[in-house]
Amino acid sequence: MTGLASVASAILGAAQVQAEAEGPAAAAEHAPAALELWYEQHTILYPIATGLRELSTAILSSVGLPHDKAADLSAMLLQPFVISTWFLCIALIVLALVVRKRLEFIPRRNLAGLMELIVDTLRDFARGAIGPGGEAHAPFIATLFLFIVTANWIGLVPGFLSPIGVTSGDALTGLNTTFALALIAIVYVHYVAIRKRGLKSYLLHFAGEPLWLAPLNVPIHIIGELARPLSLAFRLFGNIGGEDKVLHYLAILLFLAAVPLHVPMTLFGVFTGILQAYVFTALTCAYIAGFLEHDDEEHGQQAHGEPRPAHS
Amino acid sequence: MEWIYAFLALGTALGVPIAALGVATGQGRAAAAAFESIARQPGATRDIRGALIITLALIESIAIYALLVFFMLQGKVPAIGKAVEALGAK
Repeated sequence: MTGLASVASAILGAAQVQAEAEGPAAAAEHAPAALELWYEQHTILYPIATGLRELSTAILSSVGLPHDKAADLSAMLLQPFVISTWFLCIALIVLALVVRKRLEFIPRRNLAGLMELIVDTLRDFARGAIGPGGEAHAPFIATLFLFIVTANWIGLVPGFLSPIGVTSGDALTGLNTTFALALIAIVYVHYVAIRKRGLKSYLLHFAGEPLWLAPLNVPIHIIGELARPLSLAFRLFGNIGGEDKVLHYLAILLFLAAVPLHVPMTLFGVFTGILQAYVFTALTCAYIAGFLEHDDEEHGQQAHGEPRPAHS
Repeated sequence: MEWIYAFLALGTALGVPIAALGVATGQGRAAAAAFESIARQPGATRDIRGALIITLALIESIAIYALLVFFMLQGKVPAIGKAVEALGAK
């Protein structure tokens, strides 16, 4: 019960970030939070967010919304980390379009070769983690992976905010992004499960093996399914947010004591960025494989030795 | 009443280390078992590595939950000046 309460308070805290960002009195009591707000307001994204916020307020109030309501709505929608997310999306799409425009059978350009390597690796990864036929899910898995990797890495660039690891004052803002990603992944998993197994087999999966134990199995399965997006979101946010925070304090240490400890931490951040994206997508693959494994058993093949995802 | 602040500060500081103790032990055991099986069966390295990373991530999430609780509590601990003020007011 306390767990649920803390989840709710985290979500509420993330939603109220703007209200807290506007209240400097609350932040001044608490030095680390004030420092984070200072950092957020000195990123490249902050003036862009402010400008877009004014623009959208003007547009919304000209459409007919009351002015303060329009201002609230655009302040909620156009936070700096949202601008960061849009920047990443547009950058990834533009990169993909540029590479596609110059597509050749034998790639001679370095960029196309690199992208081909990435695509091949991700396709192999999807096949290995889901099992035979896993390539069908490779586009979704690769999209998740590429977005999470770039979102983790952009937090290492000075002047930018990672949409996944961002904390603004005391609010755990990054949970917004990770919950969105986890919900997308889980909805996809269940969509694939219903599509591949059919509705009846999908529901029977929830009922468990001896059918008379269904009253016991159904709640356990439902709680397990609900725990999956929660643990995905918390794990991603906690890892990246914690690492960003450590990096933040080490960078402060650089100014205080001229100790460049943040350099190895940044390199470690490059590694954990890939690792956490791998963990997120590998768990998504394992969830898909968990729903599809009955098909594999008929062919006498297990899903590549991946463990059945525990209901963590 | 100022005892509340003492317990709050203790809980904030000690939550993650206690979780880290258990998680470090668990991850060490998992990694040791995985390395043993890799040494016994080098052919299965790829499968074992994939399983190991997922298992480590699942174990690690416990430490991450403790870290999240730390983030939530961190904002509730008053700054040192304010705490001294509260103690002196008594």
